[in-house]
Amino acid sequence: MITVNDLVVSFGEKRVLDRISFDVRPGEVFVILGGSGCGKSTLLRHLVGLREPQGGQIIINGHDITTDSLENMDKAIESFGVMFQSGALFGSMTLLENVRLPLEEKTELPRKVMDEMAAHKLRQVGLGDFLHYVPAEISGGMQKRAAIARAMALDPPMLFLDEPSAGLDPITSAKLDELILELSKTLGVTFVVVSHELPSIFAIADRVIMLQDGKIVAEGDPRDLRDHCEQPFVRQFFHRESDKASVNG
Amino acid sequence: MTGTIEFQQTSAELSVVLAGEMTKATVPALWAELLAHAKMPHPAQLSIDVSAVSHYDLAGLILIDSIPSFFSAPKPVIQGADQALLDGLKRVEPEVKKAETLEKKKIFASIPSDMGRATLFIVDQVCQNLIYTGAVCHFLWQAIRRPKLLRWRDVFRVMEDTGPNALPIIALLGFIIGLILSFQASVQLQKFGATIFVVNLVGISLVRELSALFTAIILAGRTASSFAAEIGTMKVNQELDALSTMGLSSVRFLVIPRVIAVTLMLPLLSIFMSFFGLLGCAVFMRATEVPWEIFLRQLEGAVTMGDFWGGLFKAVVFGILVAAIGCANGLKTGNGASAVGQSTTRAVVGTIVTLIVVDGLFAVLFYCLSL
Repeated sequence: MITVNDLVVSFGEKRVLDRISFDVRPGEVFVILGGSGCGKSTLLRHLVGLREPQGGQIIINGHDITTDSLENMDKAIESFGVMFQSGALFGSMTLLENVRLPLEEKTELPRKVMDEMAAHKLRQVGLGDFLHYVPAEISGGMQKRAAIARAMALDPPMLFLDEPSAGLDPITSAKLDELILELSKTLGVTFVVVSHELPSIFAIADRVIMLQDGKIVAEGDPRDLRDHCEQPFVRQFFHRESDKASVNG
Repeated sequence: MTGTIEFQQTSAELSVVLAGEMTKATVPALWAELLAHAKMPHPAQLSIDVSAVSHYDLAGLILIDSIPSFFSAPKPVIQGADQALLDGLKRVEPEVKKAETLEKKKIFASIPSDMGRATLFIVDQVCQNLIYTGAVCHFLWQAIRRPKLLRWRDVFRVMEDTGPNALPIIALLGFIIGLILSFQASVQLQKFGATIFVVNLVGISLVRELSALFTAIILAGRTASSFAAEIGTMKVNQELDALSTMGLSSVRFLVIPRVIAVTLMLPLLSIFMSFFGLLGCAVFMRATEVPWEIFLRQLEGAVTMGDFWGGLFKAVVFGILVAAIGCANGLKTGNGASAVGQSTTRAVVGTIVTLIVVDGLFAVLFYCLSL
């Protein structure tokens, strides 16, 4: 579904991602891990075509989005939805209008059908009672759920989520995890999630990659990595140890 | 593969037969066909046959669910549906329609409450403006009494942006305004053989009235809008909340340095505008063969120091207004990116309207004081 080959991303002299390669299989929940500032969100922005890499390939459903024509790029874009870290909902629109927007722009459906589809998506994420609220009137967690509903509006087979649990209370975070698992199981949606929230990672991830200094230092089932990986950074990360604790240990 | 819809009507029953794909791609055409057949006589019983539907998505389910509403028919009999489709139909509830009806009712019921809300809003705005004006006066007085408390680095930064950086545009506009005024005045005064009085007219209007007003209007567009956008963005990014939690007053921290900077710069810019305006007038007069010496002598006789000080005093007041109104609109910014745009617009419009009203009050005041 997604294949990344030798991806290179630099900001000026600094190489943020250094020839990294991995693939994402259909229907799995794939999590990108790493410490703060290691390039997780940068990798996600390249995967969704917001930035051009300095080298390598990103192939989504057979289209190399780094070199393909605009037309093919559009086809690739239609195959996924993106939820940004801040939600990025349009502040002047209600939640219903936010979710309806992709339907208005990409389909010719009658208004009533679009309204009901948007309402259905919002009900799916538990926001059925907030259809006519603007983003400023709801909490951060609700905004993130609404952003997922907007990303799902066109029923894409793939969803990219940038830190969906960051800044949320444990209960809201657990609800979001349940939603991701439900969508993955019932609709077969493939998820690519950027996160460093350990409880969420263990709850949802089928497979993870861990980034450090621009390279992938570990790949596999997060539970296996936690219990068996010998790589010091991976052990530190999964056992929440500081550098000092690691040295003492 | 496409989707098709057929209508089979008997005397009491309408049977709608759906076949093929019922997806986002096919629903628009099927919906149009339903609309075209909506005028058929309303049936006592409606049945929907979905046995030949090969594939459907959410749009298809909503289409099937909506069919009875086209014919004002009672709950239909669904034929040939598997359990998954029936479950899907149960999940599709037309809640949006209910919500829209509610919204429409609200519009009619809400005229008195809207008027009440508007009144409360105006009262609230007046109170907020009074509190803001009080805070500005209080902190300005504090800054005058204890200048060490002022953030002078911010004052100089804003002074540089407001003053020297605005000088080229002030000079250019001043020169052009001087030329235009001279030309328009000379066309009329020439008829009476009084072309030399162009200098009196342009000199007095620029020094006493127009320089301060035009400079303030230019700064309303250039500086007040920038203050509103800057402070508004800070509010959206919760930087003002951060100031409050640190126990810092946003008026003292953000507004006062800007008010002082603009109050110092606007009179200076106004003097420059007068100078370049008079230069424009001099160039025009020279073109009409009036020598420089005559121009200067005429100007000296026409413009008094009273005119100069009057114009300068107005410029000081305009400076306070430009900065204070720009900052006030920034502080009032709501949530979201569009709120910053609205604040900027309000800052420019509000400042220009206030400047013109205050200029009118000054004209009356100066007349009453025989200045």
